[in-house]
Amino acid sequence: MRALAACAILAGLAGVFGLVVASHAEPAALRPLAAAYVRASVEELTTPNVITGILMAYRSFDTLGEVAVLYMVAASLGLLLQPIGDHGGGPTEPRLHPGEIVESGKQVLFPMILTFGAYVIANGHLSAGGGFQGGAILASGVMLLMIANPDAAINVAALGLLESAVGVLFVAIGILGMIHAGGFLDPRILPAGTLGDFVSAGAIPLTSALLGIKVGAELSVILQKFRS
Amino acid sequence: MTVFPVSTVLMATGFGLILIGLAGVLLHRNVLRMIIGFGLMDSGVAIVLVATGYVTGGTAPIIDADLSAGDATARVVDPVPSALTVTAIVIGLAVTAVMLAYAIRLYRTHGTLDIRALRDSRG
Repeated sequence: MRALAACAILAGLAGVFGLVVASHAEPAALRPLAAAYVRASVEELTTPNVITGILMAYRSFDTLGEVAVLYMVAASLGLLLQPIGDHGGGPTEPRLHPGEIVESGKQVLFPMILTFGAYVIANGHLSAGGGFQGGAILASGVMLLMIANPDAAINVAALGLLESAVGVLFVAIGILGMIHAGGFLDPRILPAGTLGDFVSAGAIPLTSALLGIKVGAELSVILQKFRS
Repeated sequence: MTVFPVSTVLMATGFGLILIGLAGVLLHRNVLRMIIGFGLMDSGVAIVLVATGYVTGGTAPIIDADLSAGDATARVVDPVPSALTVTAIVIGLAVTAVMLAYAIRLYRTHGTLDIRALRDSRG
């Protein structure tokens, strides 16, 4: 009975999706809004990567909200994963040794992963990349560290402090944008520079770096909460 | 035989993934399988979003040596769905993390991953 109802829902939804796909016509040119973003990102923000321009300037308030969501998840995990009664003690058996290959691999790869993450964050306004992507790479490095050293302690308090400080700085830059430029989180408070230079695009590299650190710290806290 | 444009194929794939994920959520009782179903739906939505932004023959909206600022508007794909997809992926990760935490909690309190265990604790 339950399976029948589920199949009926799926069939109905499949019909709707089929209609959407059948009526989809691939556009041959950009919609006016998208074309305006592509022009404005280059002319107003001197940001070659239009997606970063949208994420860090035109929709940066959204980005701030999204980071808040990540923060709330990290906080709620602490509440959800609290020990409960007898079952809450976590794994009682000793953790398995990860092995020689993982441990040596970590020593070679960990600095490289962190460097690559920093590169992706710092070049977010020039090429594919940005705060979210780089932050995720940083957190993957932390995850490798956790796998290679199961007993390694991650200082959650320090990560939380770093994350809060970075968040305050992010909002402070946003308020500076309100005073010196067009509005909250407007990146044009710093000189625009020339298109394609490493130091260019106003405050976007700065907010991007802050975002990357914040996302990396938050994801590391989430991983650590699952581990303990 | 008609040749479908690439974005139509992509969109059909994305919708297919959404349906597979939804079937997993509706038909399975194991929480971990339901979470995998949600993950599939997430990926499907991301693919559909990116597919709606595709412009015939378009390239990534990044101005560099091969793409001058002048003809960018004529040659790039729609950047708005791409930016939305970045957002959607991050939120998808957050949702998955919370669901996994609930799965751990279910296992700790009830000793099982079967979602029907929650029926007893209703009300």
